[in-house]
Amino acid sequence: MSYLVLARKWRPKTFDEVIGQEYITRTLKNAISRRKIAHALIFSGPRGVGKTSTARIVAKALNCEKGPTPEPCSECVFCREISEGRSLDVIEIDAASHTSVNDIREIIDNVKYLPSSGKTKIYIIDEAHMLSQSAFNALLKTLEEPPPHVLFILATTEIHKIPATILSRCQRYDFKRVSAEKIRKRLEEITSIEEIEVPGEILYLISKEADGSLRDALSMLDQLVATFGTTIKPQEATEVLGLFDRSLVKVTLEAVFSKDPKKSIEALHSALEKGINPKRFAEELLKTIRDVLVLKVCEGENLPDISTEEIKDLEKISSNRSIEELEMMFDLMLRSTEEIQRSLYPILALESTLVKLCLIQDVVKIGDIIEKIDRLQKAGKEYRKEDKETDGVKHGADTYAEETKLTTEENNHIGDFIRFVKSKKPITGRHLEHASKIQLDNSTLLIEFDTPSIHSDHLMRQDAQESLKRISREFFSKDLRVKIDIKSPDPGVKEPSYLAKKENIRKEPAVKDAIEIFGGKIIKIKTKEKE
Amino acid sequence: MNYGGYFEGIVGHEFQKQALWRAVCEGRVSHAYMFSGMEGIGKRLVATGFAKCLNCLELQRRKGEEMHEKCGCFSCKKIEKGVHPDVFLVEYEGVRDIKVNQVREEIEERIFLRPFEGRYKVAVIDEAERMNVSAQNAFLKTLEEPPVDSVIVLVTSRPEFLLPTIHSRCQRIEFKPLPFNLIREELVKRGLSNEEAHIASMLSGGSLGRAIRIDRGLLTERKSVIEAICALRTIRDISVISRVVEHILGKGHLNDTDRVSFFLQLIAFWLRDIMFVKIGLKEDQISNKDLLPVIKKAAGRFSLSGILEILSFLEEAWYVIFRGNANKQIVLENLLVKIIDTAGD
Repeated sequence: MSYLVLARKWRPKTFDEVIGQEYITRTLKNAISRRKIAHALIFSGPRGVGKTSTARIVAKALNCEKGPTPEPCSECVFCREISEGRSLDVIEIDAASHTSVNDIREIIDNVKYLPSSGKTKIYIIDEAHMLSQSAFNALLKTLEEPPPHVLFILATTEIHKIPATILSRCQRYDFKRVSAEKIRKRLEEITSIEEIEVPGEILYLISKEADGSLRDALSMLDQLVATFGTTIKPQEATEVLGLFDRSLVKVTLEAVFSKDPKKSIEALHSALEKGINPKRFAEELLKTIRDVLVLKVCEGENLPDISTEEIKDLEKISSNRSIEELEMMFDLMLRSTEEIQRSLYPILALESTLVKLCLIQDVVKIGDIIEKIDRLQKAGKEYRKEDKETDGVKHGADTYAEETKLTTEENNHIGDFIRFVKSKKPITGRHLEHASKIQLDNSTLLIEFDTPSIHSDHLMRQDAQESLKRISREFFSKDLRVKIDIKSPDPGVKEPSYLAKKENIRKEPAVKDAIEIFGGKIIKIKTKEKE
Repeated sequence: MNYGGYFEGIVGHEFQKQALWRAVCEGRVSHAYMFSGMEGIGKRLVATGFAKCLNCLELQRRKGEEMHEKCGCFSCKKIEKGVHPDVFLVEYEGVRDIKVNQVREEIEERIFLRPFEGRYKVAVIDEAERMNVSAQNAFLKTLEEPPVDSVIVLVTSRPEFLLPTIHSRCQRIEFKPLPFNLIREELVKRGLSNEEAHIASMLSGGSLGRAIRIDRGLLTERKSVIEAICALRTIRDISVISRVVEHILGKGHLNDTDRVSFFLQLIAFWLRDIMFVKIGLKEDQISNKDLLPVIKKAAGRFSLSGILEILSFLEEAWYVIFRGNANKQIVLENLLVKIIDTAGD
């Protein structure tokens, strides 16, 4: 009556059945056949790639009746005992529920006893990352030099939580994600033996969705079988698994790329009607934008997980969007995806994100801007070589170039002058730096300030004026009159207008209300900066 | 299909019910399920129904026939009352989260015993996302290979909080938000007017539980609040703004979070309506259908980017009020000022 799910039923029983970890299985097989297996192994890798299964196979391989063999028979008493989990010599510990030192001490105490019937005593410590700090430390000595009849196998999904002292005592095997292609092949094998009819495209979808985990893939397959029996139709299958059709995402994206918010929202709604989870939809949208972006950046190069047809489709819908724009979209989507995850109304958040995506303006490439500036600068240089007066008319369009030319030339000039002053008279130079404008006319050096300040005051002084005169004569090699100008009117003149302003503002209804409600007074008037 | 009457009274989720029923009938019951989907859509009810059909004494008889009433056998009655010895529910007990000990005591110790009177031991873990990381880890091995004759059902509205290693050990059954018209019908059955049922179904986001919990008194105030907000023209009318805010806060009961949350949602949906009108979507997507003229008029005053800005401001307001502890009055005033500020004349 008890039904075993596919993932458990098809747990690999030999090294060859472990899919997608060829390097590891080959190494282990060789180690076993040459009797050179280390006394402590650690298996790490994502969920559902075969860590625990491999550990059990190693246990079988060492304890099988036919002696340590890379091909355990799975039929002898020992192998059967191990498969059924009742062998006395293979101790599988769930480290996540036995995390404490006491649990580890129990192991250490028992390590010294010889195996009861088999050849080796094997401790499989699963989910090893959950052991406590002291439990790990308690294990260190035993792990380093266990008795010859003992083998430790640690398995974990989170290798970074294992202390370095443990890692350095173990032989480490990093399990990799299984590629989609290999998962698909394995699913095909299993379905043909189990006599389940699954269309190829569904297997393809499942293998992609499984994200490198064979167990995930088998769980999904199981779910399909549970729902539909042994004949599975594609349409229904996608619905059960909450997988989708990338076509829905593509339609939405196409609308976004053509800046059509209405269409994109309609596409979203039709997807939601099919029961697609908005959070998943957002993630898928993000992934697809990323794919498009990658396609754009490395033209022609294939993305491993996408079929060529899809690549063509994606290229088509994104043909008139630039890399910069896609980057901005990706950025926005990345942030929004997170917001959508925690939003109370994911649908609403997703909708506004789509509209936002549609509103992204055409972006000018930074490279283009720089190029433009370069061109202008070049034009400016050429212009400088030619005659001044005629040129201003000729290159009417290039006013920008003219400006840059003038400012650069003058700046250099005046900048040099200030530097020169600073080298001679540091204090005067410092004050000179604060001038809003320094201009050289025929025989006057005009220094302008916007407002009266200590800087202008200093320069007005007799001695400063004289030294400036002297230095400027040295620098420009001609006699100059130094004139200091302050533009703004006295503060005294300003006062009455401020009062009038205050009076005006007091009459404003909003301010009036505020004064009435809060019983306040006007202290300062600030002009609001309009964007 | 009526699935032997075990899922009677649960609205929607035909697909999920069918999948479970089929698994029971064909003897393909997996040892671990994860029911995910938003809160208030009936996940736990389905889990209870599932437990019933796993253990029902009259399953064989009910399998073939069309049954519309609930089964009255001892087993089903006990499960209904929550006293069946083989069906146990692990719940979050109002402390921070579900801890390792609770998982161990309530599930692991009991699940390794033989069923007492039923065919299966069924462990239902409600709000499974409340399990803390150690509890989840401690549960992994049991979840992967529990003893035969046991079924573990994890019920969760936030599956992303569960470890990927948990996900990969379960058959995942995703519960979708209920279609709006189903909720609407259900609400009309419960005596709401058509318009109210419509807006409530929209606000519920597809959760019947949430829809039922919406206060009817609040629904009647909806129109006046939206109209009041639409009528706001200038920030100078401070007194008018504060009157609207006071109305939203509700006089006398300043701490009524439900009320504030309802109106925040209402404003969000009002903005969404404006957005939809602006991009020219069909009218049946609009939640405040009866206020269409008001919304259309408002749509003329807002720019699309302005609406989006307010919406993100609103989301933030939501967070500072309900996750943080900001002064509701100030936040709401700010929101209204933002709305007025963004609107043209």
